[in-house]
Amino acid sequence: MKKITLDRRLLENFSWPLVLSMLGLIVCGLVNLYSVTLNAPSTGSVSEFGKQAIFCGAGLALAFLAMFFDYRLLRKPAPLLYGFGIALLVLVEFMGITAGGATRWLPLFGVRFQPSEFVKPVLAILVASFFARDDYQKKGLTLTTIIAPTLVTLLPFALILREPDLGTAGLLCLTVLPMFLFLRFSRALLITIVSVTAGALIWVFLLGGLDFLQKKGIIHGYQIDRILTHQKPEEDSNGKGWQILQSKSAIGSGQVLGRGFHDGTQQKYGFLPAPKTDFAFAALAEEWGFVGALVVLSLFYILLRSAIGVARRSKDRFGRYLALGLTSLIFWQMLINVLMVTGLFPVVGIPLPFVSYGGTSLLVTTLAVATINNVGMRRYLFQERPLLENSQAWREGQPTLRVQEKAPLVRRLKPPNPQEPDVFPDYRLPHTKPWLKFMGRGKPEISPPEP
Amino acid sequence: MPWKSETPADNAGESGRFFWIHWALILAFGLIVSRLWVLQIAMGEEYREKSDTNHTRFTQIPTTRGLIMDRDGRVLVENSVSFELLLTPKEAGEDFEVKALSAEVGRVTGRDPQELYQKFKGFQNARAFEPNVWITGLSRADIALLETRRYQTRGLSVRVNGMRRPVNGNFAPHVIGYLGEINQAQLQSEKYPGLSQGDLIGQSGVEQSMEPYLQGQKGQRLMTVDSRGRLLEELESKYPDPGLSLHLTIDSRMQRVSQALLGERAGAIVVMDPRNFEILALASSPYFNLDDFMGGISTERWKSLVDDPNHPMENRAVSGQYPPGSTFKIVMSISALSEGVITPDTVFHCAGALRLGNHLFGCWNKRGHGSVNLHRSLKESCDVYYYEVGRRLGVDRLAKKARAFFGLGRALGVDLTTEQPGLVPDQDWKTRRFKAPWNAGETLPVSIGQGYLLATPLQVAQYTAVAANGGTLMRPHLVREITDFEGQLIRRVEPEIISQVDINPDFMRKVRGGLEAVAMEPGGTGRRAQVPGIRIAGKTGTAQVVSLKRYQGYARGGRPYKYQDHAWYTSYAPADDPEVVVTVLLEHSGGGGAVAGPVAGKVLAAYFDQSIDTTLMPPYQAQPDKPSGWKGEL
Repeated sequence: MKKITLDRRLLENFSWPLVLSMLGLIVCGLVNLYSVTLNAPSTGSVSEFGKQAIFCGAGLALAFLAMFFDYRLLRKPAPLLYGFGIALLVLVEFMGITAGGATRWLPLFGVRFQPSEFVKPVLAILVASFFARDDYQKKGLTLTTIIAPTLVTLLPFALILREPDLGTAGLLCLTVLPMFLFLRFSRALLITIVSVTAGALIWVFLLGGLDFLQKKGIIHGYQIDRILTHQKPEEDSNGKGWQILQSKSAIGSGQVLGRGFHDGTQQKYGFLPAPKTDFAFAALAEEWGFVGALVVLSLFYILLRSAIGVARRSKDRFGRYLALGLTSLIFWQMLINVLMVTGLFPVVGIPLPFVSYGGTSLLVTTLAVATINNVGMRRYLFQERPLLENSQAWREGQPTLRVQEKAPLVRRLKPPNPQEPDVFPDYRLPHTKPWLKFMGRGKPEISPPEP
Repeated sequence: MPWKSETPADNAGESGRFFWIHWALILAFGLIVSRLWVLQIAMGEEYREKSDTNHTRFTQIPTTRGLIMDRDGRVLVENSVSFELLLTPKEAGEDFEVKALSAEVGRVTGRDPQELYQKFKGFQNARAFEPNVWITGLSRADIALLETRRYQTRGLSVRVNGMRRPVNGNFAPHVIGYLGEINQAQLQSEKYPGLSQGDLIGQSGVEQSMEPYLQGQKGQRLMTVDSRGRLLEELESKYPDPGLSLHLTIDSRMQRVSQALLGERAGAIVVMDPRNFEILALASSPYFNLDDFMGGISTERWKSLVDDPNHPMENRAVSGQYPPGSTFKIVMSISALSEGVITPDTVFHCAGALRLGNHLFGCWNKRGHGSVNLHRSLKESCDVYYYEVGRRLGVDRLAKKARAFFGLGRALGVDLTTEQPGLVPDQDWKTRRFKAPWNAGETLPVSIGQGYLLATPLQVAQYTAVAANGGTLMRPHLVREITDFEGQLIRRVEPEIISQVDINPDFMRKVRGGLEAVAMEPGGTGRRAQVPGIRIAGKTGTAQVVSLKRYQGYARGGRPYKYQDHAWYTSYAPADDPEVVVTVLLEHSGGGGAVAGPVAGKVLAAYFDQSIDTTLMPPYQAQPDKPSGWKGEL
């Protein structure tokens, strides 16, 4: 009889808080979507809730499968994926679907697919693969080494800006920003960056560069408007500021406990704009109040904390940067969306990860979390003394899913204590009781061996 | 920290950056949570209220105004509706769809489709999301036809407008009055609670004075709407209370007769019941047409009415103030008798004039009446007799009597807001008004109803009625009963006695004998008012408009219109048991007995002969740029 076994350490390193908080967020999103679409006329054979549920299932299944494959498989084809993404963006230029004055979507088997969603994680992978190289580690970022990652960022940035989609383009830069900041900057680079930034600011604000950009069509008037409206939403209560005002009254009217499930009048009677997608958080805060919003925010906090923990504990540079990039992708989307909904940020079309309705976004973010978890699961592969610490180290590079004819019969009089420093001097086991970490009684510190 | 610096992933300072990352994360979440705190807890109440007003809408349900009926229960003013077709351009669809819609609606309602389409173009840009008035004045049949085509008339809605519709626009327009939009001053006054901008209220006539009864109570509806303003559910409603109906004292037939008799002459006729002071007819000419005010009067029509030199909007019967002329001798004689200044048998000698100081006060009869007692003084309207009475009575006693027992010099409160008080002069008044002492010579013109004395035709009718009913003054009124929508009696207006003249009944009988003689005896001034078979009593009056000197130069018939005398005739009948008082005033038309007398006679005849009616009401013709029908010069 064939048996499928997994390496036990994969499970030992599995980050439960990361995955469980993601599941929690998805559930919150589905509940919210159900409430929002409850009495909306159904379009097509499958309701929007149904579609989103299908995407959830598909995303989780894909994420589950992805955990079986070593994340380092992504490193080699990264340029290829990136090239594919760029090609899609170029394709959008020519045969994209235009809606609301912007060309952002490609027709794909009858559904609309947004290539910029795909490019965001791919860019993170590519930049991570750059930064994992030895020369970045040795020299940090210098005037020469910064060129390649900057260029690969600016190319999709420019293409997305042309769609035009200022929000996503900006998000792209913000996603890779923490990865850049993680490297050491050379002095020459620092001076260059400071002077270039100052020069650009002077040009834009003092020498009329804004007009020039607008004339050339690089920045659109409405984008400037949107930022200006953000500062004074009350002045234009029926136009662009209307969305912000309605969203604020939706959130504010939720008060502490909220109006209750499907009782949010702002979303139910159509005052809240886009309650399924961009303003989903407002609908949620209206119906579940401060408490509900706090629950969602806590889940996000747990998710981001544990994702950063994965990056921190990872001993592979590619893995660390990859985890960082994907974490930052989720973080910025969450932050910008929530600030936008609460009226602290201009309205840009960035959804709230896991909660907002949208298949592509959900797939991408779920896979991103799966990849982060993948990095964390496989951190045992990078040990200082692999053979001593890890009897399975020789299997490095092999798929971890292996099929055995027969389960090896292991008999031990006494199971080895994983916390025994003699046996595993450097190896931090995952928490067997993860909640203890939050209750202040963690594992005993294990001091590293003398070098 | 165990993971620091010895792993290959770490380069210098990299792990330290996690420290900053954690703090950045905490900062970001702190920002969000504090923002949510501000929105949901600190300002939660405010936003909850904002959100509630967002989706609830408060509307008012219009009520129906009470009806106005005459004394027999015939409806004079009723409510009717007009339909308007509203178009919301955004809901109507694309351009070509509206073209088809215009064609269809135009065909059904008989309007020009091209014009409708142009109208749609007009409000397509500016007011695309709100319903715009597309067609006005649709009939019920049109609406029914449009309803059957509902499936292909997207974006259309029907609005029902309540409208006040007088049954006959020419009938007693001054009494009934018209509606107009409430103005700013009225909105702020406490007389009109619960009304808002754009509401219609009575602006003249009983429509104005009886507003609180007629108005009714508006209903209210609280409902939930969505962001497009569509009604989702009704939360609570209060249904409107219809206004109360008025039963006027006006007798339609008498009113019609009076108006017809006035015709195009400027003047007024008051027909009143002396037993209870119910006003049976109150005609004023020239008049306007109430139909003009249906659904709002046009600006140029309004301007032409207001600018008309003949003032058709003025109700001459209650707000026109004239010198009462010789009709005032009724007041004089009763006052003097009750004060004991004269007795019916007191005789004065009329030599055609009375000299006071160095001024000569003439009688109308230059040759003089000779010896005149009370009976003759009334019958032949001797001026010198009343000069003498006035001289003996004095202006202050005269004014006191006239105010207390005849309702002169004050508005008694008939149900019309434009009622004028008239003027009874006395010494105080002269000092206040002119800062000069009263001259003894000024009493004499007042004694014959000239000088400073002013009275409205209603007041003349009042003192005639006082003479007719033996000395009782009551409040004249226009409203008999107030009933609710179903005809249930709410209030009956009882006659309200104001004063009773303290006069020897024998003396009163003598005065009435004199008044009867005016019409019935040979030598009486008012014989032209006689009605066959009925004994009537009356008094003529010819009120000078300007002083004698002004028209001394003119030949007898050649005086300019505005210098001609006002003709008065006030009468009651039957003489022994009066049941009707008729007062006629004709402006600038000559002698009272000659001009006003026959008119009064015809009114009286119509009162006693039910068969007399007139269908000869002059049909009203709109003349936008000219003064209304009346010619002016006679």
